[in-house]
Amino acid sequence: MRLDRVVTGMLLALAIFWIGASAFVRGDGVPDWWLPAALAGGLFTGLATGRGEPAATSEPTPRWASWTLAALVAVAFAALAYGAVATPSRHWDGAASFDAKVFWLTRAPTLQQPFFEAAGVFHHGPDYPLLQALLVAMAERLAPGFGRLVLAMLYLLLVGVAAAALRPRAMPPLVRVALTGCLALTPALLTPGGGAADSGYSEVALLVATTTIAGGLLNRSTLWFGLGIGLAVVTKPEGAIYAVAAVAVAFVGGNRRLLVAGFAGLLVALGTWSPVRAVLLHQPSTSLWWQGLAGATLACWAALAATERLPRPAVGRWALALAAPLALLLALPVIAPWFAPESAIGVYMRQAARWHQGLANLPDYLAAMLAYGITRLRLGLTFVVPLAALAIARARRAPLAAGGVGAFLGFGLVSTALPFVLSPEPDLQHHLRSSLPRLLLHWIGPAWLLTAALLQPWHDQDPPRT
Amino acid sequence: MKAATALAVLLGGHLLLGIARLPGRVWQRRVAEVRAYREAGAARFLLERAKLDGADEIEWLLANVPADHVVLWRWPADGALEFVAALLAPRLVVDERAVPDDATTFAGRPIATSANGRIVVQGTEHGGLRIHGR
Repeated sequence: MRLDRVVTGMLLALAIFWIGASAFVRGDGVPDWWLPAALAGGLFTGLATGRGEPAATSEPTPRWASWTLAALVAVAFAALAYGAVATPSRHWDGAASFDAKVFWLTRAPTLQQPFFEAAGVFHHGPDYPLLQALLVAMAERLAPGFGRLVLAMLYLLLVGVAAAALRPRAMPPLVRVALTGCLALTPALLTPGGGAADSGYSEVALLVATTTIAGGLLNRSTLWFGLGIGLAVVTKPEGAIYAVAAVAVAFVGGNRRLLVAGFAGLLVALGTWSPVRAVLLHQPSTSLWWQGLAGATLACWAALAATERLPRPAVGRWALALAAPLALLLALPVIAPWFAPESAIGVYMRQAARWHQGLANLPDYLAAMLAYGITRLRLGLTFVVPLAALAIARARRAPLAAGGVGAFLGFGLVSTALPFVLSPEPDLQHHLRSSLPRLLLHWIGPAWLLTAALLQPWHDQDPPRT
Repeated sequence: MKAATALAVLLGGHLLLGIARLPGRVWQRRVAEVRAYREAGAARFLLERAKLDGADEIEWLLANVPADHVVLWRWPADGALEFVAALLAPRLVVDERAVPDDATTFAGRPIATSANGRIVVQGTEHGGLRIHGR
């Protein structure tokens, strides 16, 4: 049984589960058989039809290395499984927000109940996407007391996504194992705290999505690229921003197949999430969101048409890519009213008209980036290694084959500035402390896959041993 | 060769950092955290860890408001009040402005009252909780 097919099957299962659950949850409720059915359907499809890339090297992985990695991941998984099941969430957002949704969805997996439907009920983060909450709730209904094992399983899926994404890369097997281990052992994933894999937050689920997107870009896998984009949208509010960034990377790269897959993932996710979100925000009509979906569809077609007309190499595309964030920033005051003021993105949009004042927050943000991204070692050396690999590759004049993943990671890291430029919090330092480490966590998978892409030309250049 | 060695050192350093944390920070700290949670109870553990007051008020509400009732809340909604809805479930926590003054039920559930009137929970300026109508 090939790892990449199992992983693809699990990603498909998540997508199938969400598509069905998003419809069921607006009606009488998600049936208990839906989670196992989606798992079986996804795994069967992945195993039967998955066209996993062949491993790029016939050099076998040393058995001791594989077993060592498996043992370390097992120790980490056991800690997360224990931490997930032993108590409900033990940290702020997990307890205040995610556990409340899971509690009510476990009792009745439908939005047709006062907690979700009735205006005035205290509902923290009402428009947070429901994929993880529904997964945990449905698992809890199947195996009472063990539903939160889903959180530890998402960690395993993350490790599997990284291993499967590295499999087709031409590099020494030991390096591939080491890179997978580097992601799996990142301190912030495992150390107890908000954002750890067992904390109840959706950070790891979103990390699975961003790593899948990066894997799709790295291996030109349209299926992974589309799945990752779709899963990002239905996992966390900022996932929609990451999904748009991924589509922009495919557009700038001029890869029409990836672009079509990205648009498909984006539109299916928006089409299934928007009606659910409308109920959660007590919007009397979903027409505003359908208008948005129609607008997004038109934009997709326009971008697809533009890929045929823009010059290649893509000077024009890069200019567009640079102009797009600026245009978006200038358009913020215009589009802000489209977001409900109580929604996760709306609270930032209320500051949109004053974005230029928020630029004064950038020095504090950059200092926090240095602290939480590098010096505090919460992420280990995750962001140091690719920088070193890039510097060395430049010095060796090795060809860089990391454009897509690098651009995606770059877009992602730049996007982490937005909540602080548009910060609604009077205490910026508190906002940085509580949010930035988790935003950075979303990018550790793409960072390790970027490292793999940067290392590959070295391997290609090395003369074969005789 | 030097470049490859430098990268190997960085990769090895990251791996060693992760491995070194497994026994203490990953396992021991997690076990201690679970033990503390069980000893303190959800409300006290969560609020004290978040440097907030209000655990006594949550425990009073849990002891005195039946599980099928509605507890009203009053602005501001920050701080300890963020935890109230999750910690009081299956009681519903409802904005008092959404409930008419003469209503006795909300969404088919009785609204919690005492001899002093409706029970209303409110966030305080110091991150704690205040209960009106106790």
